[in-house]
Amino acid sequence: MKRYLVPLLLAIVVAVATHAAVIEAIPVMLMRGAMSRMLSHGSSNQWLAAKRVTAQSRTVIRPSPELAYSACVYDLSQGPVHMRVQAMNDYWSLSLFEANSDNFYIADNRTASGGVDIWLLGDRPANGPPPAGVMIVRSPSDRGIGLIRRHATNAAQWPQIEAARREDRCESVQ
Amino acid sequence: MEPLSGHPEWRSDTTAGSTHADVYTRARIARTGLLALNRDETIYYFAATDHDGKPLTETCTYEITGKPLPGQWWALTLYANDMFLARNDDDANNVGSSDMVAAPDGSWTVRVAATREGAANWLSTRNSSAFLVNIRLYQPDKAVQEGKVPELPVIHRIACAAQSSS
Repeated sequence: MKRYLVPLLLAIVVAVATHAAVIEAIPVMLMRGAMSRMLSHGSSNQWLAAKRVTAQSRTVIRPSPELAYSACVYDLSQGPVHMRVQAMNDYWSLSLFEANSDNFYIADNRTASGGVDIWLLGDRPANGPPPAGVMIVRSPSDRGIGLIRRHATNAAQWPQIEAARREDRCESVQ
Repeated sequence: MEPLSGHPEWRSDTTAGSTHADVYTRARIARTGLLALNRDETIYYFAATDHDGKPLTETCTYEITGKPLPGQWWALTLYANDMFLARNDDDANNVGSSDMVAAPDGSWTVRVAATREGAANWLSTRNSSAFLVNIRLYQPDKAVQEGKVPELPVIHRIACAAQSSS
């Protein structure tokens, strides 16, 4: 009996460790998948403006038909990324998600009524300070997703959404 | 997730989007609601059953009755069993505070069925199979952010199509 004890305990430890690793990896894998799907429509460090959500939309689960989404897959490995979000009178928000899916930053029409202007930094430092008025936000991971949500209940509001989108920025700081 | 007290059809995960969520919650949220916002910004409520605990299904007709919810804006959205909007051209997958037709006291009723039948507010279940109703409450009032469960709508089953025998 004793000779089975050590292999048995070892098997239990391996099973528990594997289980923990799989659970921990799920959000990372799903984020990777979401980033990959987004990047099939463009490149990193640029806003990708989604079309109006319809019954045919299949990019992200449970999309809201009342929201206009813009997403930026950011990559800070070469340095900071400048993100700017144009404010609107109705609801809007910018949320940043790190590689493990944590929502580590949010700004919206209540907290930033004039819009958002930030430098997003990872491990690699910036070559100099940001311009006046631009705030620094640190991302826990070099890659992640920025997501703008703008309230748009009907097609008539979309010209306003498109005008705001033209002012948005997600770009590497050179 | 457990049903909310007094609201047996609704469930909510208040740790969605939070950096304090444990690994299991984070894994579940990532699977069912990737890129969800945290509770200061939005609270999500989900119903997969009616008020009596029976699963929501396209073969039945329902009414959802409720009052305005405490936040900047809110919406009810119907999702098919694959977590996406049901594949139909009814343009009736969402109704909310900006377009809900309500009584003078603010109360409202939404018909949840495959056909509108003249209802003022309608969520189409066509091609949704076993569906899910989702409430998004944006910029909820402070008390709700801090954990108070607001008065949520009630989902009543009205009728179901007769089962065909084989």
